[in-house]
Amino acid sequence: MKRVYILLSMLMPLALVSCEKFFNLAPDTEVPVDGMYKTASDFDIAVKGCYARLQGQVSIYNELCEYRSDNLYISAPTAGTQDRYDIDHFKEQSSNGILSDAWSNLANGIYRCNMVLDRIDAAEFDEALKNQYKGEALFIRAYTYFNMYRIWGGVPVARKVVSVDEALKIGRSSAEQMYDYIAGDLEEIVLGSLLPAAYADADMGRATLGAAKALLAKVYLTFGKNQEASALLAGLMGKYDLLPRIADVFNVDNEDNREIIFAVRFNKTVTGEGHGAWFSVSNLNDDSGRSKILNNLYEEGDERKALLEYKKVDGVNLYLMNKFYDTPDETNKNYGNDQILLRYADVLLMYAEALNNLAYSADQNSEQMKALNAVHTRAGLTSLSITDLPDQDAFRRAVCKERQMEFPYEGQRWFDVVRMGYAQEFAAAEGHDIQSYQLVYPIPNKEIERINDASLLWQNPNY
Amino acid sequence: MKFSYYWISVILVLAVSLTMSARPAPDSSGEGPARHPVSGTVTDTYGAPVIGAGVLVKGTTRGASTDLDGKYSIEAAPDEILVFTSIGYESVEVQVGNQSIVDVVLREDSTILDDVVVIGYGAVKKRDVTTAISSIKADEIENHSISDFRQAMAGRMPGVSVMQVGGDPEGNVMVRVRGIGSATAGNNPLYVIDGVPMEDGLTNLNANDIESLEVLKDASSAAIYGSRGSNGVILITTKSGATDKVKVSYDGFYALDEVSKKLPLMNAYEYAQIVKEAHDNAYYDSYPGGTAPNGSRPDSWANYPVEIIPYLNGEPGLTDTDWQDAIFRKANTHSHNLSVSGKTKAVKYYISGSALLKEGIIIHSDFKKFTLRFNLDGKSGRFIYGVNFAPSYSRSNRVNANGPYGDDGIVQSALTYNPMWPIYNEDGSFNFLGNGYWRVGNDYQHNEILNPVAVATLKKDVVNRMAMTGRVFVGLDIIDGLTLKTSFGGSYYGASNERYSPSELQTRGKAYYGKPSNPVGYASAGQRYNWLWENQLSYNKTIRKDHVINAVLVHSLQKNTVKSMNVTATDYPNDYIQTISGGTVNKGGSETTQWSLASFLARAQYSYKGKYMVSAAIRADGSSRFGRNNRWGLFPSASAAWRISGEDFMKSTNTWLSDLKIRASYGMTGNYQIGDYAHLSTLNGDDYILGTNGGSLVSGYKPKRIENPDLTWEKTGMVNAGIDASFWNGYLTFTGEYYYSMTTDMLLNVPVPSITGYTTTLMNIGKINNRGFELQLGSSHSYANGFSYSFTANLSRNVNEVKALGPNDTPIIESGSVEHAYYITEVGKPIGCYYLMTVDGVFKDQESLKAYPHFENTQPGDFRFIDVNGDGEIDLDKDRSIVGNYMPDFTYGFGGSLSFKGVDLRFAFQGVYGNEILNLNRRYLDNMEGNTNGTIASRNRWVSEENPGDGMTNRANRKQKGNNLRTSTWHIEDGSYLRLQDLALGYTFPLKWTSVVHISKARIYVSAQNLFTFTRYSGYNPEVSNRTNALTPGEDYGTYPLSRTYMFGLNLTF
Repeated sequence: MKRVYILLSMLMPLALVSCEKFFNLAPDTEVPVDGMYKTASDFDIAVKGCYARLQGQVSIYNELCEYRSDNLYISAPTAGTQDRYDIDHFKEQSSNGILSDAWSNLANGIYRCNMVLDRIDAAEFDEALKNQYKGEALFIRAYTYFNMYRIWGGVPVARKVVSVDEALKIGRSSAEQMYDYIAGDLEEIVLGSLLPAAYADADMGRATLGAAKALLAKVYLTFGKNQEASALLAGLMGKYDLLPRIADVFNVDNEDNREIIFAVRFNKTVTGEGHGAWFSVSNLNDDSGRSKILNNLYEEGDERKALLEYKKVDGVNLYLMNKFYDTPDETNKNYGNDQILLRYADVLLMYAEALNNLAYSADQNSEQMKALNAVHTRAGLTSLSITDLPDQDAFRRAVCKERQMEFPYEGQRWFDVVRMGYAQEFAAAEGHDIQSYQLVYPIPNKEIERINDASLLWQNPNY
Repeated sequence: MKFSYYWISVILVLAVSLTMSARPAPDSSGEGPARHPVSGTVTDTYGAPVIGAGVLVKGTTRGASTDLDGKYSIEAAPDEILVFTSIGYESVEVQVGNQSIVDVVLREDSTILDDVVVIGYGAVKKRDVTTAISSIKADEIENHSISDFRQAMAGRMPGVSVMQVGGDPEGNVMVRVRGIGSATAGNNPLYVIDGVPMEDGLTNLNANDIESLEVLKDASSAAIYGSRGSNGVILITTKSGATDKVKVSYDGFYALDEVSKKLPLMNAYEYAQIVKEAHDNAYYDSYPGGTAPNGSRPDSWANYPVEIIPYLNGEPGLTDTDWQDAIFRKANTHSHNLSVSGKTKAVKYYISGSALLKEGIIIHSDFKKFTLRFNLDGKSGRFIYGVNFAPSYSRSNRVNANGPYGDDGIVQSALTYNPMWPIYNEDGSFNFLGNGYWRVGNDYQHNEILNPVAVATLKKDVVNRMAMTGRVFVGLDIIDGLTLKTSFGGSYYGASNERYSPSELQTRGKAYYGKPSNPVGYASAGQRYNWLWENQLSYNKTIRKDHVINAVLVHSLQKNTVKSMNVTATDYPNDYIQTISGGTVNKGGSETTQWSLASFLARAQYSYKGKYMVSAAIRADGSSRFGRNNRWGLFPSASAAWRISGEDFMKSTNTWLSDLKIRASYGMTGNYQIGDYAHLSTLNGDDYILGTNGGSLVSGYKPKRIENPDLTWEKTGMVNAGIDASFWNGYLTFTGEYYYSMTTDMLLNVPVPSITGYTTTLMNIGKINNRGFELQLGSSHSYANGFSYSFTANLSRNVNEVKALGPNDTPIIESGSVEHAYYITEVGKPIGCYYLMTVDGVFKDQESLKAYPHFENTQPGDFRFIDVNGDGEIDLDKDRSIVGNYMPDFTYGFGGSLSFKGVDLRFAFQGVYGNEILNLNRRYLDNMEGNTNGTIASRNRWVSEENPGDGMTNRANRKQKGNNLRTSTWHIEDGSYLRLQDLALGYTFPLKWTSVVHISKARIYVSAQNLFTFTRYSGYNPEVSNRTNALTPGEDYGTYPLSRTYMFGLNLTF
């Protein structure tokens, strides 16, 4: 009898195994995708994850837009800065680590947005919130594709989450297709008023309808749609303010100011939510860093020049430009400046540029002259006179110069000179003889190897 | 103690004498030559008397046996042969001749064909083994100054590579069985302690408790562990009681450790020279023909600091710190081990306790371990039962020895630290001038490094580990030969870690030079619970003497739960309270992970007359770690062996060929080391800031992994052929193995288009092949005069070849600790090869520079990189090629032992040939930048066309040109070595002395471990491998050096 009991006891574990429960174990620090994307709060947290990706993209602007341009200079590479040096000196190859990191970072941002956009229509919750979340994901996706276009030209585009097999069949889009996708997403926001004009205090920093419009205007301008750009920008006139003192725009304690349209948010006191020191130097005699070209651009009395002066940081042996001055958090050593991507001065100067592109005006009181002077005089300078800007090109150059003085280190310069057609000229002034193919970067080698089909993902010519 | 010893011996001797005397002498009427009395003493190799040994005149029934002192007397004729036998010893035959005293030494039977080998869910006689199994016994593990039992395996088992990758006092060992079978899943073998698979807590095992250690090398033997067998299985069997008399043993030693090697660094004067030269050259490069004196040159880095000028002038008596001496020390180790064991008719028992107190050779590092073990098994009627219980505790004071100075790695910090700076200030506080004094103000671009003595002293890092492993089983003999056994095993492993970095220790970096840091405290605790329930039905039967059948049927369930939590605190007001309570918590986390495994297995073995052996097994494993579409795997295996020497037609060779067996096996195993939830698609946190007034934290989620319901085990199929031979009764033994294995469905992080949201995804897609051979030769013999010897030598070779990688076989290029330290894994080549540019010296002059492709800014004195693809241009990417790998061409070991009249000598060498090491330390030590200290390799540097140095070493230049700093073959070194791992001399006191104090065996010994290493490797340790990733092995980027150990020890048995 005893024997029978023992044999029976052996069967018990069999019963246990037949139960799938024994195997169905789930992690407790991650959420299975199946359980997500259902409620308004699910989408809210997923959209915040899309914004979070933007924090990791600050360096893309710094490396590919500022170091590339005549705003920054590196005299000699060190072991850790070879890739940056190559970009600064127009010597980058397709294996450049900054480029491949940028590509996968941006593509991941798009994927996060697509995860939201694929699922939001099927979810059931408040329609206004649904529109907002959808609009935010569209905004971030459009911004990201716009950056990829400005860096590499047409790239493979996924407008939904794609599997590996699907991805292996997607080729580069043409410039027209890129325009349709980017402008299409933003027009959907603007025409459908998906985004609110403003948010409650706690949500300050999310993309607004104004931000979508400003970005769309920049897209129009970049693709040469001056008519559309000027019409949209006209509607933004007076919707934001130029602060009386430019320094106040960047004050780390004044991040809610009325000039900012869209910024990537940071807070140094929260671990993981601050950033390292931007453009810091440890030695004022070093000639790497802020370029002499930029330094010599400003005339006497320009308040923007003082913004670029270095100031010793309290508590550490570092110098930061006044523009990005902050003290590091005691605990995590991070800095807390927001990265401003769109502000009203940009809107004004885009407006001036678009109108001038449509038609030159010799009128001192023309809309474009007013917009240009609004930014110029805010810096403490006297108005520019139209007599000094006798033709369309002279006016465009004035806008270009104003933009360089107004937006250094804000991720604008290289894209500005490429858009306006002055890139080769300014590179030459800095001592780099570059060809027109260098207006876009090489596609990262790694990405080409992954697709391994030159008819789908081909290298940009001459790289 | 003495009591039982005495009585057992007396009974034994009486019994033997009685049987002898009771027997009439049948051969008393012999004709032949006259007999004369012969007497003598029979002792073992330690000189202890063998009591009750049989002495027989060959071919007769005349015999005697030895008494309590091992003495015997007998009568024999000169042409007769005496045969001395005793259980557990090899028998010895001696021609009588005209000797009247014949003393004999019996050697413990080590060829032991009838020894038992543990094979998992059972054991077989060694002579019946059909697969490839290596085994070592207790005597090869004991008496070494080791903290981790695996250190004792090094060099002793062919095909099992035991690499001591670091010299930390708690042991840092990497074990690989027959090469590398996986790129992304783990390559660690499975450890099974007394039938219970273990994942961690191995450091806490007491090496002295181990009776035997078997490594299942081929897939056929390892397949019994199914989805966990691919990397080999190491079976550890702990001791049990073996002798009727109670045996009490004490083993203890004291050891002195010192660093086995010091690197030849520049002293402060020599260093000052290269600093000046490097900064001068950087200036002249930027301003050819420049005449600005030091201090007024335009770029900060073109100037050199004034502190070096007295050194340049050769002023005597200036500070010249030897930073290696500052961090290394002579370290002490004590070990004590006490055990009691024995057996009665009903139970066998083994109880032990041990303490190990080991200091590390780096200051402020040490390890303490305390263990207890209680093993008991018994039999009562038809029931068998047993209990193992082993609690242990260890405490480790760790220092951050590994890694680059940038992560405050002490060893690399010491090697690179400026010798002009003192360790302490005059007031006794730590000196931190190396942390950026030469960067603040005028920036000479001298790397900021923290004082390594301060890091070792001030940073607290304590790990406490508590482990409890146990198992109970009960079994029943159902019918003759059929046993049902159920066992429940469990382990608890808990570890806690407390760290504190005080304000006195500056934060590394010029920004923080001269400022107290904000202290950081950290505490973590982890616990692992593991239970295993196994039900086993075994059938062991010998039918009509010739047919031996062993069969086993097992069902098993196992579940593992790991819970961990950690908190970090900072903003401590001072350094008084160093626990988390003293600061403000700013970060924390907790996590629970689990896996479960359910298995069924069946195995049958059959042997006919000991000549023909076959075995077949199958295991089915289901695991939570794999996707729902591929949850269950099936792992079959089969093997066969033929003892040729047992055949009648081999009778004629029996005089010299004592044993000859050939074997063949095939098996399929799996690798489940892929993480617990790799098949699930999940999201995890990525937070953001929103809101006014600077904004506040808001939670965000990001997708983390693509779902992969098809994810399944890597499978390894392996064929193995082996031969075992023994000649002249063990004068010479030989074992040879050949194997060929193929791992399929290898998990790879396949690069995928970024548009999917990921750059790689895990897929069962690769194939990898390992093939090789293993040879083992042995010879041993005991001579009648008491001399005995034993020699062994082994050699093994493994060839690793990647066979398939993803859809397009796209090579996987990964980086080591430095972005451009590339490794490539490609089809047709071993996994994880160094993929770098080749340097073949420096350009000696303008002529040679013009004659060969070079980088735009290359100058004479810069490296001459080879234009590998021959396109006439040097390209950082296109001119990379495979320049070696960490896998050796072969590994070998040889050793032996000699003993004579109580004196024993033992030695063991081990070696590796044909591996390469990526010595990334050289990017600082030998970079000729004059920004950190380095080795005297700089003496060979190019100075001018007239003084080109050794033609291999580049010019001093703070701003190196021509990509001299690129990771290249300049950083690759031959890692071949031959090491005298072990040298020991022991003496066993004669029993007649020791018995006075009731000691049955007393042995003292002195030994040395790691006495010499012959190698050309310039770093500390040619076995080093900083990274665990199989795709990027063999990197040296700062590591805890190995020590040389001198030991004095004592073994006592009562």
